[in-house]
Amino acid sequence: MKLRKWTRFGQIVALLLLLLIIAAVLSLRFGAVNTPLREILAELAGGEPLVLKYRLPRLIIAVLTGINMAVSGAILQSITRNPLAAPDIVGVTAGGGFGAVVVLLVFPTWSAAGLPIAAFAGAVTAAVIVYLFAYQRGGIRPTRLALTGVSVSLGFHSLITFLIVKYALDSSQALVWLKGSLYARSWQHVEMLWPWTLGGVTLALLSHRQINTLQLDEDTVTGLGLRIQLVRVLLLLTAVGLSASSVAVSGTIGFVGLVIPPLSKWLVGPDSRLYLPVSALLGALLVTLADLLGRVVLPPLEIPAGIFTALIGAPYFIYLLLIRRAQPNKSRSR
Amino acid sequence: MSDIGLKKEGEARKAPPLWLVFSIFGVILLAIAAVTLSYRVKGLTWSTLFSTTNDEVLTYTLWSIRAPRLLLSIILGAGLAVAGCLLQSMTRNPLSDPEILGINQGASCFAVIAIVGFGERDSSTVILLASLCGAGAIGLLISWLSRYSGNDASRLMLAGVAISAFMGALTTGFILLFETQLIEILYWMAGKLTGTTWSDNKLVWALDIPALIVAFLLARTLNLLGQGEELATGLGVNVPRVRQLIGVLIVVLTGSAVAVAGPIGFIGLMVPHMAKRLGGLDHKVILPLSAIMGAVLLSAADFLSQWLTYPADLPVGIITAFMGVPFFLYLLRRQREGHR
Amino acid sequence: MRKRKLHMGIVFTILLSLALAGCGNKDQASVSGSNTTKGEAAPTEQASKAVSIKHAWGETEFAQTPQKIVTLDFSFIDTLTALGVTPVGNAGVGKTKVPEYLADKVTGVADVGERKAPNLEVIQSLKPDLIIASVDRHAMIRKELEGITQTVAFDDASIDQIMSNVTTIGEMLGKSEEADKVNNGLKAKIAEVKSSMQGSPSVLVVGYFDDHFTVWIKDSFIGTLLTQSGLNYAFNGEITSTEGKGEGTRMALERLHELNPDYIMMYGDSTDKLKSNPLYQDMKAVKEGHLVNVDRDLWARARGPIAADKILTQVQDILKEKSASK
Repeated sequence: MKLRKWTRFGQIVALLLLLLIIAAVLSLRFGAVNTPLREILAELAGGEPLVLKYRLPRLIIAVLTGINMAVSGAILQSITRNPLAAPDIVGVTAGGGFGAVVVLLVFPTWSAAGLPIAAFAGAVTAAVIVYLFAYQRGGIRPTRLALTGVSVSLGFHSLITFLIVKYALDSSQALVWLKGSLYARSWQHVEMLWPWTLGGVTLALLSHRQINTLQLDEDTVTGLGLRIQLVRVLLLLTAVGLSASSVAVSGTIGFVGLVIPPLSKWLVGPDSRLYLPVSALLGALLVTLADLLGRVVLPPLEIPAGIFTALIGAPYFIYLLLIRRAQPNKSRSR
Repeated sequence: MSDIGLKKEGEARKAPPLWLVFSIFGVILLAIAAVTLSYRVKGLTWSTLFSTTNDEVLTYTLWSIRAPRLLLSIILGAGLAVAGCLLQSMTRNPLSDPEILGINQGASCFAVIAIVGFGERDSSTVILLASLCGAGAIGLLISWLSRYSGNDASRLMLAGVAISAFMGALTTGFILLFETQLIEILYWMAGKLTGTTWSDNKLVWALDIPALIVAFLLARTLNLLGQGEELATGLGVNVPRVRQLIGVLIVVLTGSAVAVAGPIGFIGLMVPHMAKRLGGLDHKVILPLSAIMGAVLLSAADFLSQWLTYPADLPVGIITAFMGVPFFLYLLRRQREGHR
Repeated sequence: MRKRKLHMGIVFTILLSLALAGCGNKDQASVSGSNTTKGEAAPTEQASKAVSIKHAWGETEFAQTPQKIVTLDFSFIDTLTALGVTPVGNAGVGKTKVPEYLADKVTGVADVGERKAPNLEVIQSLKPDLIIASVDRHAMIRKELEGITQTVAFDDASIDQIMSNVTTIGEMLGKSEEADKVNNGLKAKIAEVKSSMQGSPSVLVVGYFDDHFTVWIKDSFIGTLLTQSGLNYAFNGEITSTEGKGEGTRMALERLHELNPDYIMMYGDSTDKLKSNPLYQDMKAVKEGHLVNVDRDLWARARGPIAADKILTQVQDILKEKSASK
């Protein structure tokens, strides 16, 4: 039995890796400017750096963002035992968006350097507010966390709308950054992001046992005592760190954290050792494809990747909602 | 009102007599109306008010600018509040609201597509139809979801958030592609009442008054539904049919509001709770009470939206959001006291 | 367990190698003018002396005259066209790649995307040796632009800035004579308009959309242009709107009625809806027939010397009508 589980896992991972590599190559190959394969090879040999300067860092950021958001969503869904939890919903992306909009519209001179910092700060602030409001003696009940996240999200969204309307004349730039776009992202952004990805994913993988435990029902979890509550908080922090860093660099790319984890659980079952890596790969795949589509549909106009993740993610999400009626966490492992 | 036999903890304290409550709100509404109509209107004095005046500007300001706007805020306030009430009963979720569940966004997404795609901001019928379709589609979705989400309040909420995010992304995508009309659309999308005309009013009153009447007539059925679906069926209520009807009412009330004023949220969240506190659980009471309280709330909010940051005006949707979000948080905190 | 580690290892190695492959190229981005002149199109003067230009993002030295220029905002392509130079690429808004009033003078310009988000790949593929950017709009991508080639940035908020840009850009392109000609021509036209004007009528440039008016402030391009031509621009912005880069204020009809200028240059929605509004009818400009419909693209969006010239021509026509009807 165990062997079958692992074999299946192996197969899926191999398949996803293959898909990801294909997507990566496509992503490097296509864009506003046509770069046939030999040009890419010529670049590697020291020619005009177009692909390596623009597309490669972008690809890496897409992959890292996808990994971050998917793993963050997977963690959140386990903690809250709710298949509908995601960084977009727990206030993180809204807070990040708010931070970004404040810098873009209210303090435009700080823009280039200040944006990632402000977005990160905003995301973390939102998460802190959610945590504070959701906390009850003894810990955080999942339902409460989700609901508090919804309201804090709403609050930040209203603030964002308020700012956008106030500074309407300049807001089109803000919208581009808000919608989750990898436009003009370069190696410096890669450097900002990859430590978080590495740290967050490692932490998550190391805690796989605890994550599995947290998926049991609340009474069991409470019965296990304080230590598990601490782990819950730690995992929450990890999820926040992963998504906040992603928002800081790529803006609000939604639905990745929401839609990917259920899909990966469906593929490989509820063991987090399995579904975390699969989520990471799926997330990377989704964001890479979304970015690619955004760049090739209407060149030289770039459609933000966040729009495509929403377009792809939402119908699938609604499908998920409609077919799942009973237990949220029961997945049919084959 | 207590003869229906529905009791809940916290009901023990004596609620003020109904006639008093309604009269008070009626008076408040009149006061707001008076202030809204007359605030900073040049040339308005008691004498000009009561005598026929030749001042065209004055007449115009009062009758063609202030009055339609006031009337629209009243009917929209009432409509949105009742829609919220119905929504909360239908989803059996005290946190429901057309904005939170994405119905507003669905309606406005379709409306924006109509505005942008057909380039006609003046064809209100097309916009209205689009808005109703959008509200309908999302309303349908929500209604399906609420049947299956059981007792978990958060599931529905999160579904709503996801839906609004999706519709928001679609809308923004459209806007970015048609950037030349960006500013105008952005402003509309925050929910605004400026530029209200009499024809807007005719449209909305024509739709909302029948909807409200039907809702009031359904009060008894709603009471029965509130006791549980099986019980209601046992008492002869055709539950699926009623749910459909409620859904249609919600769509009409919300869709017409969005078509004319853009998405205005949170009235449907706040008002039913306040109405229930004052009036108990009998829908025969709560529905009319919500209507009048909603009218008061929105007209007050619109007054603020016009004058708070003069000469710029703040979209009214932002004001209701600033009121509604803290209210939502407050509701959440109350839940911890076992009111689930 | 082994298998998983193996898989993680593979993923990691791939990512790592990609990263390493990329890192190697980081230092190759050259900033100081890359010379890929292929002796094409626009014949430019042989200014072989080094020119040092001061602009909003510092000071840049040009060893040679730039030949292939990418402009990232309307006022720059306008200025270049006035100087007789055609850029190789321009960034536009929506469907308007090259502003319409320039369309007959300018052809063969590549589209580098939206001015709010110019496509870096396309710009790079054009192999430019100069990029002219807008200070506000492109602050976020400054580094990326400088990583492609020499980049200069200007602000274009007022007519004086435009004229000084003309001079600077002229110097940069070795076209100082033409630049002076353009500026003198513009100044002459302004003087001409001013002298033919009787008194100093007050004016506002207003956009009308969906029952609200957006009024340009005095310090905007159009405001300063009209002011210099002798008109009295009647609105200088209110305190609430001078945060941010707002150059226009939303206001309601009542406020516009308070301002009550002699002339209103209006664009946007049709004013039919307003005809029944006595407040509207009560405004001086409306009563005297001085509410003029103007083209949004030219009056609200266009910047630059050619635009200024066209606007002034229209102003002359409008004022002539006034004196004719007197």
